[in-house]
Amino acid sequence: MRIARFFAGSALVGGALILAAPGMALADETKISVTPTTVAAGNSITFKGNCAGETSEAQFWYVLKGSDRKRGNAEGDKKSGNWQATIAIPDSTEAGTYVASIKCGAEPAVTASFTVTKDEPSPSPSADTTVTVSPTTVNPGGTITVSGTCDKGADNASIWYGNADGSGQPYAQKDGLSADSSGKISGSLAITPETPTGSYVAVLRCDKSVENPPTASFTVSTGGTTAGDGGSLGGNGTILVLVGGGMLAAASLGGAIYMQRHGFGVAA
Amino acid sequence: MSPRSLAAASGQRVPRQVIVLVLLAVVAAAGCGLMLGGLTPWAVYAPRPDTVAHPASLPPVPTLAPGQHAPEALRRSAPTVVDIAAIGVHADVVPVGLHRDGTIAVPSLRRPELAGWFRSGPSPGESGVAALVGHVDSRASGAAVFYELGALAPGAAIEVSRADGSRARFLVDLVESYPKRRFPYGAVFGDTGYAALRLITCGGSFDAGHRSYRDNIVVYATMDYSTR
Repeated sequence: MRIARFFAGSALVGGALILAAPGMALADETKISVTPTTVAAGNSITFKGNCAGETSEAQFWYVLKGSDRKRGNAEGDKKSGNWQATIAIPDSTEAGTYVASIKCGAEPAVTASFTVTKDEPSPSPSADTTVTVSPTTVNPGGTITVSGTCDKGADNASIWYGNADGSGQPYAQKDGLSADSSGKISGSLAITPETPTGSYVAVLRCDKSVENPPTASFTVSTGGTTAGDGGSLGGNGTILVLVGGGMLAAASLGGAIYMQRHGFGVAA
Repeated sequence: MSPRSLAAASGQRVPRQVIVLVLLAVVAAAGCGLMLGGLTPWAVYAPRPDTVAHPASLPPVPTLAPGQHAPEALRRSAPTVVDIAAIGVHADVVPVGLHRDGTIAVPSLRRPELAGWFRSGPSPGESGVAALVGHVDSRASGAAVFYELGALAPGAAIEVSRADGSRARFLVDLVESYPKRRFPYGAVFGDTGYAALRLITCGGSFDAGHRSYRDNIVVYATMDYSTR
């Protein structure tokens, strides 16, 4: 028992030392890390450093194109040597690789690199962006609502529906639709009663110049679903009534004939 | 042993007339029994809600409650298994399309234990209305996979496992029954903007002439939880 306690105690002390170690000891050499290592201009980046020697201050900066430096206020703890700074990457920063530095007191600077990307202005918005259809399954004679967004606005948009493979003429079409101020557009189409059941696409074309307008598929169906054959309903009652009635009638008739021949007396 | 030999064994001679009358009485009694059986409604019917005679074209459920946010929709992935603990359903799911007659197809009556996923629409968990269909009964099995569907109550959980390994859980909003001839596609398949599920089977009275039920039972459910 004593030996076991000794081991347990040693393990506890050892564990405590291991847990405490990173917080207490200074790093062997100065380190710097940046998060994220790739950042879009206009965001900020966090520098984290660990100074090897006990210093009263640390400096963070990164070098802009040319020789300009952009500095950050380092906050940290001189005993642990852990320092940190958050530095904004201005919108005007050009895309490329930059060098981040930390300088602990009078020690030489230590560096790490990071990448700045530039958000490309989104490609010129297409005249059509999205289209949805509701309901997604509809009966012949029913109505679908075709909705979508025209980023550039629209005052002569068209909606129609046609075969899923794009063949043939539209079954129904509406032209001259206008988008609201936010570019939203919506219209309804009647599904002609002659439309065969099957798969179709609804189309929104914001402008006549659009060659491949977006589509949303839907199904034309009728009659819901046929999901049961009455197999749980038990037998047919009519047959039982007929058979039973026949047996009753035959017995009555037989009894009547027999008694007429042999009399009603029990003694033979 | 015939009655005659029984009587002989007891040492008494049973008059022939009595035997004939007893036999006739037995036949008559059996006939009465069959008639009563045929006249009494002894068949067991699947649970079913009352038929909505004139269904509306808009969804009858107020979709999401105020302040309630639908969980993020999943990507498209075919459903593989559906579990509904409340009515003891644990069924494999196979894709189905449209039947020749324009109705939504159902797995073969020879496989009444399977549920069908209407593959022309969204998959369960995807944004929009996904549909699972299943037989209520079959001659081969009696009760089939969705026999108890009409007994589902709001709040019951439906869990769908998907081919990509994710699972989507839906909670029942409403159970309705509609005449097939006026099946309200707009209400059942109207766009939700979030992941919704409809379970569909047969219900209502049985049309012996067409060997099919007159109604469709529709369970409306909304996804409330998913694992990826």
